[in-house]
Amino acid sequence: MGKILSYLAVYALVYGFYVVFSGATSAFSLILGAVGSLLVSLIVKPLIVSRELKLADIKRLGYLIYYYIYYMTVAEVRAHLGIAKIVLSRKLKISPAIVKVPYYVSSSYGMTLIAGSITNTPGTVVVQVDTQRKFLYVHWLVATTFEPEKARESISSEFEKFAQKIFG
Amino acid sequence: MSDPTSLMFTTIFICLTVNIGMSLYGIFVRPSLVKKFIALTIFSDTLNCFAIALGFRRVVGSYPSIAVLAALPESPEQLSQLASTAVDPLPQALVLTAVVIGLAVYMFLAGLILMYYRYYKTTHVEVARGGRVG
Amino acid sequence: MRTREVVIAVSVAAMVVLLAYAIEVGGLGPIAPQRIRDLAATYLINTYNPWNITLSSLSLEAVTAIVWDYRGIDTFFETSVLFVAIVGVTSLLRGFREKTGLSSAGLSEIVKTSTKVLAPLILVAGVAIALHGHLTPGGGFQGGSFIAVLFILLSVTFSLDYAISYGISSRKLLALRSGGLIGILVTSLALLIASLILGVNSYIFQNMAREGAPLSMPSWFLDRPTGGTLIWFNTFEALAVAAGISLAFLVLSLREEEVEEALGQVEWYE
Repeated sequence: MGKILSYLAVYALVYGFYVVFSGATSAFSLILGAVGSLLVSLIVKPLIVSRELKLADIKRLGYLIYYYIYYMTVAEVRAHLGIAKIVLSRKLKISPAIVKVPYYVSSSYGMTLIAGSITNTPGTVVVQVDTQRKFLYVHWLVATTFEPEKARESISSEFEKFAQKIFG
Repeated sequence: MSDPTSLMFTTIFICLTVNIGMSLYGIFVRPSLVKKFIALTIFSDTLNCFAIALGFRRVVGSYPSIAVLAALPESPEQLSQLASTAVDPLPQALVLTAVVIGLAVYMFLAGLILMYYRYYKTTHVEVARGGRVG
Repeated sequence: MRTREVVIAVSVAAMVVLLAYAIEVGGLGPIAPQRIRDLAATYLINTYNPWNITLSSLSLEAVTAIVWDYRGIDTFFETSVLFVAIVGVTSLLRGFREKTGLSSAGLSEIVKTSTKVLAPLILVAGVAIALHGHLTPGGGFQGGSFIAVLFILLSVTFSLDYAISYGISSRKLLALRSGGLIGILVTSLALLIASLILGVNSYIFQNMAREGAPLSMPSWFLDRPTGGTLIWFNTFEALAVAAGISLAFLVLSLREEEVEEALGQVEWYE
């Protein structure tokens, strides 16, 4: 059951991307694409899904969509406003530094989501990751602290809350 | 030379010619085989751009429609209208062939350069002739 | 040495100036003419022309029709050149053996996970481009190159070790490549074999019915034309190109430990 669900999830991702990418509306494209996507998902499933999925995981998808909207409308805008304030002010009030930020999610997808979210908001860039000791090394434009836990509070705690819920 | 289309095409062709000159200079003068290889790829890409640009055509006045068959044509008139606005497809098909054969040649050349490096521990051409580097 | 470089530079510069002048005065013919040649117009009118099927290839895309129908034998030999080049690259290092456990570091975990997310999307985009080769710009070669990018990406971010242990080996890739070529060959001979059975005339690389050769490939699938042989050619070409480019990259990026045995047997000629 879990195995079939994993294949179905990969198939839905692949086929959905196919339809969007080729702009398929004709039966020709849709049917050939269904066959092609089946082959592709059979090939790549062992690569991208490491644990068996359950029906309850559909809740995580809802969190992902909610997080996407929240991130694009609230978190991004807030970070952009902060950087715009710094750029437009008379004096350049920056204190760039590379700080250590711990993370507590267990899956690599969750870690990648956190790292991507940090990098995509202006002002912070992930430069290195230490998967053994679970640290991200983040270049921070306005570093206010070098304490790993406090830096986590102001950089990644809100992303991590969602990453924990989405990928675990 | 007054109308903007001719000016644009003249600029493009002159830039391509300059590109050819620079890549030929690279092939002749740079001593490293890798640099020669890069110059060779630039040379062939420039020639492909030349061939594509030769296939263009100018349509007087405004374009009646986009010159592709986006949907199935319903009458022969639609086809002759396409032929009166579309660009020449033949250079594009020939360039596609040239790109594939170019890729084949470059793969083989890359393998040869790799073997040269493994034997001589350098990619300098003069070394094979027994000359000094520098 | 200096004078040689100066002479080359001056002569190349003179060539550029003269060539640019020749183009400027119209030496290559009119630039961007208002009329295209009659040959091009013939291709444009006949590429998709259900009213005159003996000249048409029933494909909406003129470039694919020229490449695989009107100039099909040309393209067949072009694919053979690609195959011969790959055989050449492989035989430069003949005797190599893929090994695992050499270095499996790859890039950082973030890059690996992002590549995992991208992998199926690259693969299915290549499939989509190859399948729509006769309807939209693209085709077998472009789709195959897309798929080969995936292998290159995997072997760079995850290391070649991972790609080999995932089940990709040079033997399998060569088999896929040969399978694609055999598919192209079968497609080009399909109508000839059918006509031998039915006892009528036909040609090699025949697509639609021609004068004196009444057979044609199935040209319609549901609600879109398939271009007869074109969709088969595109599919097999995508397979062949994807496997071929992956194989060439695999051979070119082999580690020293894997080739030293092969290089030890080679006699170096002084």
